[in-house]
Amino acid sequence: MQPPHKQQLDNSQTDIFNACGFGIIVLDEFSRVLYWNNWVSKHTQLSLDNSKGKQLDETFSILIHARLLQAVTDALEHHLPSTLSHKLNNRMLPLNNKGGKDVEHNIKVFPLKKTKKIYHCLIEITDISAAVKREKQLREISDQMRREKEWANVTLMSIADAVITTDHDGLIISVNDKAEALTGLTRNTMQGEKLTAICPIAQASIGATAHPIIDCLKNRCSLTDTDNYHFLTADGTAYAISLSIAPIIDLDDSLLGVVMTFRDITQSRNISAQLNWQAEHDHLTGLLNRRVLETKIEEHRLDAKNNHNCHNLLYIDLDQFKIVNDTCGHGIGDRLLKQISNVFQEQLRKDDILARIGGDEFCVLLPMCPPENALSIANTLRQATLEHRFVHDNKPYMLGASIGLTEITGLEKNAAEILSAADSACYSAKSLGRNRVQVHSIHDLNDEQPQQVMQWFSRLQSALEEDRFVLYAQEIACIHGQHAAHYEVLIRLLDQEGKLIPPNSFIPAAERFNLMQSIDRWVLEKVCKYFSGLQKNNKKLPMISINLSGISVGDKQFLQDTIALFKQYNTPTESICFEITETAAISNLKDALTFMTEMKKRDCKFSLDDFGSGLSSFTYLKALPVDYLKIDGHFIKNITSDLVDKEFVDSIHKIAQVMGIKTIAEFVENDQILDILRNIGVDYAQGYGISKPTPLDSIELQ
Amino acid sequence: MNNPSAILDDIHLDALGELLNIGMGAATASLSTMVRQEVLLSVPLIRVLAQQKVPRQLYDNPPSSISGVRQSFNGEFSGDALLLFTDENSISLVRAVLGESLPLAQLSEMEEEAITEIGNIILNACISSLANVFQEHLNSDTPEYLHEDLSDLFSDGEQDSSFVLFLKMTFQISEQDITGHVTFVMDIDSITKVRDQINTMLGI
Repeated sequence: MQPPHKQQLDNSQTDIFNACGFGIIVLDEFSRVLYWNNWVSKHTQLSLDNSKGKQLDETFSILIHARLLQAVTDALEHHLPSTLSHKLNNRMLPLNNKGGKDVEHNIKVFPLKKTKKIYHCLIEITDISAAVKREKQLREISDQMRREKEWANVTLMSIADAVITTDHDGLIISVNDKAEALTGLTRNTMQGEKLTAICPIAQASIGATAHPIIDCLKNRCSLTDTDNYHFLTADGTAYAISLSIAPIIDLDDSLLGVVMTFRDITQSRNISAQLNWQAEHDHLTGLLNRRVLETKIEEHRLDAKNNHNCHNLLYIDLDQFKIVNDTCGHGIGDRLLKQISNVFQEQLRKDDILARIGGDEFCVLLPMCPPENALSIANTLRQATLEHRFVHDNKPYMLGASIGLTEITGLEKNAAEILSAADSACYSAKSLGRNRVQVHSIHDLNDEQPQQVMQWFSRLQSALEEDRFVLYAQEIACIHGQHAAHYEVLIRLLDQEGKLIPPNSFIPAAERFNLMQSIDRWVLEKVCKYFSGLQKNNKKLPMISINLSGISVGDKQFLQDTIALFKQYNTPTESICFEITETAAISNLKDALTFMTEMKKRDCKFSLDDFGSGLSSFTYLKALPVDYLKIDGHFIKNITSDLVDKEFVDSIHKIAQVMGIKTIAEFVENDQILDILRNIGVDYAQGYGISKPTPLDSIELQ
Repeated sequence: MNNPSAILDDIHLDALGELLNIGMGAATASLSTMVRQEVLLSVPLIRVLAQQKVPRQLYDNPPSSISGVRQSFNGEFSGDALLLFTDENSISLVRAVLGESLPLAQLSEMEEEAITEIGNIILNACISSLANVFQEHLNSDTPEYLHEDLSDLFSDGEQDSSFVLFLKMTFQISEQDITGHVTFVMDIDSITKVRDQINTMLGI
């Protein structure tokens, strides 16, 4: 063993070393302790004097670290310095502070050249307890911040609003996914750019305006969920947004930046616009609906009242629409309604308001329009409807329009009253034979006030209950020689004052209130009883024609009732002729055929009413087992002067003749007409020129 | 010396490679103990080349910045011994050595110290193996952690001194996919002295 170096440090050197805030240990070439400073004594609680000359691992026998010994060897033998980090080498030396706590330390080992061959070694020990603690805290804080940032980031990315933040100069810092989607720009393009340039915004009502972010940056003004903005995209389109802008202010009240959030509300705006539209329009035709029409009528009523302007209202009900709807299906019916809407629209002025208020009911509000012009417009519409050709399945369908016209005088109480007036005028138009315009007048006898229409239901019901209908009969005379008597029974209502009311006043109401079957049944029973009476008295039986509504013809219950009545009264069914209109038969062809077939088995006759006024389809005529064809009175009325009518009647008759069907002419008012009919060869004639209707019971039979 | 890259011939290069292998062998053994994983060592690549060419020799796609440890040495010949990692790899290495699992954005002061120690162990082994064989004293500065631009690290003007003895050995910690490079940077003078030492050693 070599003696320890006698070399001593002088006082000034030891003072310097002792003043150091780190540990210094000097070892000789045999790794024996030559010196350490006070810092080492203090933290090892060992005195230098006791340790001097001892090997390092002898001094710190338990805890001395192999790495440290290696470093010492490297320094002494290879003259290489070493760094021993706290992280990799925990507690290299047993160092404690005053409180007995471990001192975390780094060590550096340096070779000290004494002679060319001899090297000593300096061990420098640095207390890094504070740094370790600081690092631990920093790492915890940064971990927490990282987690929070991640949290915030995921939140930001997943929210449905676009979020863009800027610095205090308005330069974009962060952009979430939604903002990328809404602006159509990538995050990389946007970051660092001026927000005002990247996200141009216009105020919906004003248009170009200063970007609200400018105000926010300048005055720290916030915006919250403001809908009044449009986002202008790069491709020039604009969409409605709900915009929020808020300044981000630091604890020291300095402005860090601005956060802008917005979302696309085009869709919700569209939806609400769509809902609004739907609330105001008829979904099928796109015309205004009843609700809006009433509002418009009310506006015009007030205008008429206050400014004495003249407005008119048309109430249009399509004739024969039901046939199309029932025979072709609702889809086709809808198509026809759309077409008719267009037909109407084409005829109207720009300011006229067309609305669909029910199935086949339309209204036209004609603002600033004198009554005579309104009447002319109404007739134009009627004519246009008539001329509209609707073809389905190679079959043409002809429509008509019954139009009620009323002037808005301003004296009405409300819109409903105006609408009712037009409605009842329209109702009159229908009652009077359809395809016509009826002007509403307070004095119009045919016109029924709506309240009165409503009253019809109870009036008809009580009339049925109280048996207050009476049957009249009108002769159907054979034009060529003698023939068995033939009458058409016509119903009249006896009101409570004993006044007779013609059918055109109550039949439409009965149809409306679904009372036609009851009325038809009443008539049928009456006729059955009548025959029963005649049979008892051994009278010669006339042929009796009974009008049947379309509803009754198609009703299975009515068929059962009819059979039961015939049985009950032992009715001579061969003397019964049912008159049905072409429309009624075609509306429900299948059920009508069932009824007709059943009745035909009982030798009942059938007569097709009003032939020529509706579809006049010979195709249907072939399908229906009819015995008589009643040529519509409109062709007969003018037959003396109108050659076309005459030819028409002539051709109907010829075809009927070929088909083995007898023809009956209505409205035969005078002998001239009768002469022409005779010449054509029409079989029967009916009308005031032949005989007027008389009560059934008063008919003189042979 | 018309062509600096011709200072060393194949004999010298082979000898240097052998020397470096010995030092690195010892160093990787230490490193393997520290990371408790196998550490693979590449065949040394030794060239004399212009400094600015070094980054391309190290990486196919040189990263802009680099982390590592520098240990300067001087004596008969002088230069810098460098241990280099990509920034990502330096973080992975710390995690491997310290057994930490949390992802780190960057190294803390303490962790830089740990990297410095790892570099110190490897570089000391290399330097001492050179010194041993040459029986020369090489003084070495304390190791320092470095984190700088790769291009700054290897740019030193356009003089002769910008030529370096480029020794590259790559070690790989297999499970972690961490690759480090040991590089010696010496000027022409030192390279010449190294050649002379090798000649002496081999008795040429």
